[in-house]
Amino acid sequence: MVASYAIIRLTGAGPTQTSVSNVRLRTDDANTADLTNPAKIKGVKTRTFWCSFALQPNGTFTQVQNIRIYCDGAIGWTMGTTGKLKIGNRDSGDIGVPTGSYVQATGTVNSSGDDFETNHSYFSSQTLKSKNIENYTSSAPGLVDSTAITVAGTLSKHAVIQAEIDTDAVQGVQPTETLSMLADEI
Amino acid sequence: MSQIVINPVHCFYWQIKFQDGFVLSKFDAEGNELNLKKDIPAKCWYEREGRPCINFNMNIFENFERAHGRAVAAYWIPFTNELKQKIAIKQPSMNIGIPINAVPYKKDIPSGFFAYVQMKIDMKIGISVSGNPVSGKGYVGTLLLGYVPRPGTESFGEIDEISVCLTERKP
Repeated sequence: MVASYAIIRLTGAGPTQTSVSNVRLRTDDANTADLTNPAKIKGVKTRTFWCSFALQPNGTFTQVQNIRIYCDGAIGWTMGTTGKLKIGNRDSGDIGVPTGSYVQATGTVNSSGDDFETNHSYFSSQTLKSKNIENYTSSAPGLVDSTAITVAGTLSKHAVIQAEIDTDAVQGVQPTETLSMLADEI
Repeated sequence: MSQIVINPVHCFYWQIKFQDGFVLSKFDAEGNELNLKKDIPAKCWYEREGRPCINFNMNIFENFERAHGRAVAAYWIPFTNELKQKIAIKQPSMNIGIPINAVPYKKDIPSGFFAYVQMKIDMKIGISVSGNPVSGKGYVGTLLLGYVPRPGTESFGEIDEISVCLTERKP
């Protein structure tokens, strides 16, 4: 059959690889789609735990490569003045993290996640450690993995995202946003 | 937790026509899918970060050219209902869309060049800080069709990008 794709979220120390129905940002490292441990608004800026997710081609294909990520240019969440959804960045090469360089998300559960810019070793040594994901649009997507996948079930490099919530954020249920991933296939 | 499996919608499949009239097709008339990987010459592969990778500046159809002469045309062919039904028996999970009034895209391959086909898959993933889970969707958003100069020439190739726009039919 032609290629089908799974979105694999990485959690825990292992990491545990789970095919997910959506990507939920929370103040814990759980891969649970409920309303426990939500993002917090406090007197200081808070963060969700960072979230690592990869693409996994399955089925039959010759090659899948150049996995990219983008959004519509506007994440419509009320995260306050400096709030944003950020994505890990590298000074050169792919922005995705090889599976071997995975770092488990850390922080204080039900309070705030640690900043991946200082706690994720794949990004902490970079000059520009993150970008606002709104900078990546269909005309200029972020390159997560430029290498090729030729074996079904292989995990791509994974993107790392994290929401930052400023003190003046507005509480409430936020709409689901859509991230797009692109892949070249033959 | 439910799993997300994105089966991208395919509206077109590629074909390569060779000098002797032989047509290499991603799907034959009976709905059988070609597994191209085993026919790509070893020299067209290189290793990048520990993974095998196709060098698209090499002729991946060389083995077929040896038997059938050089590639003279490359196509993206719209699926028909008849072919869709045959494929559905063999690959029930494959997601095929039938484009309305679509015609094949053709690119003649000049001598001194070889054929190039590829496609870009566009996948949508829901992301939330609260709210309900959503499902993922995908489709073949762009068809790449063209030709690349054979090694030893100083010519430039030409690759067209054909955008595929899908509109969901209202129930």
